Amino acid sequence: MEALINSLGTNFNAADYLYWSRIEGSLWTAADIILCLYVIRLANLLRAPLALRHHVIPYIVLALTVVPALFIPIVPHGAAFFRLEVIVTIPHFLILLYILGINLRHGPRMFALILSVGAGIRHTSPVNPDTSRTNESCSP
Amino acid sequence: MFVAPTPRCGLPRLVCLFFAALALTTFGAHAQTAAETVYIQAVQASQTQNNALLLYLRLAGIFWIILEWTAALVLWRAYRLLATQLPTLKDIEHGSAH
Repeated sequence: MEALINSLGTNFNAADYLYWSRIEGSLWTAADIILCLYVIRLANLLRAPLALRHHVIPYIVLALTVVPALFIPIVPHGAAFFRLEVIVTIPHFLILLYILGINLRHGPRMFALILSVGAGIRHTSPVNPDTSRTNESCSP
Repeated sequence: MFVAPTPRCGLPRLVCLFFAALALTTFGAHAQTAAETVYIQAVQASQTQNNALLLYLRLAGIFWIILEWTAALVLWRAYRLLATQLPTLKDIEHGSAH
């Protein structure tokens, strides 16, 4: 075990760590941005039928985090990388927290809406092979 | 029944509070604690083991990326599904109303 740790430690150093941090940081920040974007869009989609106001400020905050996120692949050292990640990702978590908190009271109605959409999918689908098979097996 | 708060300008307030806290911790006076000194000495004493730990962190990062991208794709697909089906639902409701 000690030999394994020693071999890993000699083939990987702090410079490699920063290099891979830049790449991985860029990848998970991009995922964060898409995730937040679709959480906002989903919330707005479900708020519209309930006649609730659309979220606009979360879009602005998200757009503002995109600017520093562009610098993640070129940060010069580890401390700057950490600071930049904090500046970019914490607002993302705040957006998620805000969307969740603000829509909590409308959650049951939104959930009911999603369920009724599911019922609509089954209702409008022309042929459902599983259902037809079940019906055949159940028919006398 | 629990009622969620609906503060005015809730998100800008949260973001401003975060940046104020960040500024305080970044620019505020900070003396090195005993625990930090011990940690730095331990890292310097065993650089090889520390490098191995850094490699482990980067490998864990790959799983985190997979998790985040999976969540993002699931949300994207959920949005697309609902966005295409919501008009259908409205039609059904309108049809049943008439």
